[in-house]
Amino acid sequence: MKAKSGDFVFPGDSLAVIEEFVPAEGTYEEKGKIKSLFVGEVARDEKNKRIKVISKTETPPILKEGAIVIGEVIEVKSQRALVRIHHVKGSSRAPVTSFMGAVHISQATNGYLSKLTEAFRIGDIIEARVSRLVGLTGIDLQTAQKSLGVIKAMCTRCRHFMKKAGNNEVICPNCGNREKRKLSTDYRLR
Amino acid sequence: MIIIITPDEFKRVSQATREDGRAPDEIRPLKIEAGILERADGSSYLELGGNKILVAVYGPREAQIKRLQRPDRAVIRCRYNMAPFSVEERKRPGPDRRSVEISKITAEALRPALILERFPRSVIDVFIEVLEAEGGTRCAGITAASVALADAGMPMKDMVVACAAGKVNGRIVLDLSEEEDKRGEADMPVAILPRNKEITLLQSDGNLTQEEFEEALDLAIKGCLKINKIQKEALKKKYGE
Repeated sequence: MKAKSGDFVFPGDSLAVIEEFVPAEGTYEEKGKIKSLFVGEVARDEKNKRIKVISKTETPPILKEGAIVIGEVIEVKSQRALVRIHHVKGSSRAPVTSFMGAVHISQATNGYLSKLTEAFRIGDIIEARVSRLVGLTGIDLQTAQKSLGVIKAMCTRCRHFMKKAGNNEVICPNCGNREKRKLSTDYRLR
Repeated sequence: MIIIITPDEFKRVSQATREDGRAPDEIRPLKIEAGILERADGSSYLELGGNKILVAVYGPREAQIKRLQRPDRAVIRCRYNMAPFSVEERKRPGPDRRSVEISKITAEALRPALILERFPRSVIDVFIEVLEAEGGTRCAGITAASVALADAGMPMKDMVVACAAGKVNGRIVLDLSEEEDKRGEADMPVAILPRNKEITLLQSDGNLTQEEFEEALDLAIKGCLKINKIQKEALKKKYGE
């Protein structure tokens, strides 16, 4: 069976033979045949000779390079901030397992940062981009972009959520403590 | 008992020797719906004769029980449960010997179709709730679970479909009802991957000769292929144009 672009396919449907196309997302190869993995629509890329299946159902979120994630800072070391990833943006489903990522001090802001604690503190909720993925454990994140960084900060003194006070500064409405952060433009509490 | 979907055409008594008027190679009226639960990642509802089965799939998600996690693949976990009101006499709620067995064989029947290596360290939960039972619930459960897994967007090599064949009054018949199962001489549930006819579940209760076994197996596979068409229609109805 030769599948055309836009064909409705089920898991296991033959799409093409391996000599014609490169199997892309939503497909797998078995005995020289390219087959569908999902219930979805076929998309043939004649120029690059790639064939993929666009799933009609919502698929489990998969971490890949370039994905935007939301996570919680659980530890700030001198060079790295460790982040527990809670959500992959663009998916309504939780990540398939617990992932830990790390933001290196050089990847936190565009400029120079003398201490990483000037960008993140434990308990902060941050938005970051996956810059490198090595296996399941080596997830490098970066926040050097206006829309990335802390989206909710916690006061280190009284653990209240902090309000935005300046460009990269937050103030605690409870105790008046001022702290520095690498804030995202999406920081809501003002 | 509530009967909703038995149209008159199924009640004909033409060539039939079976109690409910079916031909020996005829399945009970079947209806499948995909994606009917809001909060589950995937779900399906199935009616096969008097069986009413609801399946919910959650995951892949983090395995809360750490010893279940596998570093290289996901784990599929199944729970087959019969509602207390699903049978004539109230069933004591909770897992019993029978439902523990069915949970295990269902997970094993579904596993060959799934590409579990894509989701290391996670778990896929399949909940099969039998709301009303009328024979052949394990097959109906597997059939519905497969639709729910496809609805959950799990990468699959093929659907899994199950159907029973057996021997009643000396004849090999397809898709035994509760009554036939009780009176009959043998019952044989079969689950297959319909494309390559790979068998993922084969159980047998009762006595069959070698010829009868082969005839029953062929008949069960035929029944599976019929059911597979309805599975696909259910998914097409939900997600097709």
